[in-house]
Amino acid sequence: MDIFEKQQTIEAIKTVVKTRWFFVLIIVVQAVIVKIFFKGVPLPTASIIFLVAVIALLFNFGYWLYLRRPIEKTTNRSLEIIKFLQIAVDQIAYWFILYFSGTANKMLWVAYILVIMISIALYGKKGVFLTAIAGSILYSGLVIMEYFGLLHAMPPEVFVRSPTLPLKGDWFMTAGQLVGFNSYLFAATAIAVYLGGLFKIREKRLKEQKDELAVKAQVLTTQTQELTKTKDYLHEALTKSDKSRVELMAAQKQLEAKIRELEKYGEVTTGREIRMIELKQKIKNLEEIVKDLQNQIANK
Amino acid sequence: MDIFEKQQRLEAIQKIVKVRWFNAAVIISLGLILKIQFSGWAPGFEYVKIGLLAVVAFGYNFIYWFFIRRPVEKISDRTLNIIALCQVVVDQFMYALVFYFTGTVESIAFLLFYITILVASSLYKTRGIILSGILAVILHNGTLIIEYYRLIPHITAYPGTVWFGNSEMTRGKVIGFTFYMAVAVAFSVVLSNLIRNREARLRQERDKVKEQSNVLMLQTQELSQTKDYLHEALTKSDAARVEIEKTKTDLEKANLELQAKLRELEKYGQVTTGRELRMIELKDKIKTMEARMKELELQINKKQ
Repeated sequence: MDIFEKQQTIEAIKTVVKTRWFFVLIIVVQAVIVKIFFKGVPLPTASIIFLVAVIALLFNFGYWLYLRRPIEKTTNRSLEIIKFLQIAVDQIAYWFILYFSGTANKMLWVAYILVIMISIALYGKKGVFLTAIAGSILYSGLVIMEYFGLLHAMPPEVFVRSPTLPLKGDWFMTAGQLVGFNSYLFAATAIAVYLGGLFKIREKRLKEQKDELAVKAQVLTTQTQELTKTKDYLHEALTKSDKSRVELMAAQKQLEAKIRELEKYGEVTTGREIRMIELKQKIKNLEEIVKDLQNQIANK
Repeated sequence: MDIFEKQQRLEAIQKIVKVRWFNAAVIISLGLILKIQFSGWAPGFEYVKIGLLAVVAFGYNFIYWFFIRRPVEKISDRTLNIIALCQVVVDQFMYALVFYFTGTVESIAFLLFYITILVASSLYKTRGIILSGILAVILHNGTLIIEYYRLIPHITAYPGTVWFGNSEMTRGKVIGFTFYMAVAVAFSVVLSNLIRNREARLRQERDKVKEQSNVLMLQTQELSQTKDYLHEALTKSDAARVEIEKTKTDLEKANLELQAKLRELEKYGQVTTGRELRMIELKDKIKTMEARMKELELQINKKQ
């Protein structure tokens, strides 16, 4: 169970605990009304109703205390147990109320159908089915026990005054009750499982979408990190490359200057050489002219 | 209603319609079993009536089925709302009939009304569920009370019971049903809100992650662009550097060549040392020779 699931479970149990305060109150108020205004209806004695109510409230208080603790402190195991108790204990409590009322032929058996509704909020398909099976066993057991006269005996005058017929010895009523209860219980279970499945599928779909997106976000985060790294690397490389280019350019300029200087120097040197050749040529010319002139003088 | 909500609602109705086939089948089979097994059971609920109810139930479920097969875009909000409303209300009326025919005060078919609350919790919000509960109470208690005052005939389910006409029993059933219906409605509302909240939270979280991933996507795109830009710039810079390097090598070569040439020249210069002096010498010689030339020319002129 991950933290999210745990949170969901705790929230569901919290809701169930809240409704339980209300439900216990309703049952007690109803019992009081029936006790006062409908004296003929078979009901457990006031002390037993009080005892069951107190136990129920204590249980609920225990759950409440447990759920108040921070989520990190609740272990999966204890949470599973608390989750399981939400339905099982309630079902047993209804059983006791029915047992002490002397007959299973009471409206309270609707509660076995109502807990199916609660089980949707808490359990998966299997849990809802198990809830239904437990309810079926508990209530059918009561009906059969009553048929064989094993229920808590009421004073006979209760049933004389009451229109409620005990199932004791009446196979027709007993069979009707068994068939009717179980058919409706399982019809309700089928619907509950089906509708519960609807919610579960919706939640699952949303969760899947969420998880998918989370994975995508994770991938994107890694990608972003990598890209940032690549970007930084490239930036650095570019800076380096630019710097070395600038350096190279400076070196190139220096070289060019040096070459120009060399060329100039070379030009100067070469020029002088050429001058010298010119001068020599001139001397030669002059010598020839002088010789020529001397010849002329000599000839005269 | 946005398309998502509509889709969810339609999906819920589809499920309910599916469940209804099963539910109707169970109720009809139960009626037939009771009728066959217990000859005395509900004599007023003849086979014809069971058949008629079955036909009606399957008939309207078929209409729903036919309707919801259409694509979601073709279904207007109004019709979807009406169909959603029918899912509970029509069933409750049908259940009221079943409840009546199976002996009202003796029947356990009142349980069926609780099933409709379960259905309501998957379709409606708090108000809808409460209204469903109220309608169930009106139908159940109404049937019981009208029958109690003998405005409609009673169909005895279990011969020998004295429940019908017993004020205490009727009152007890009315109060019991109302109480448990209140509990069922409370459960349903709480359950439906719990699930709705869970869904809302999940949706919120999903949207948050979606937004986050969108931001990241944008960031990634931008980074990708920057990367590409930088890559291009680096390639260009590298190419330029390579070119400059080449030029530099060329220049260095030229430099070396020049230096070599110069060195040669210098060597030559060193061989002919005192080139400057020699130049002056040469110039002097030219001058002397020119002077000599003039002198000679003068002599020639004199002699002539």
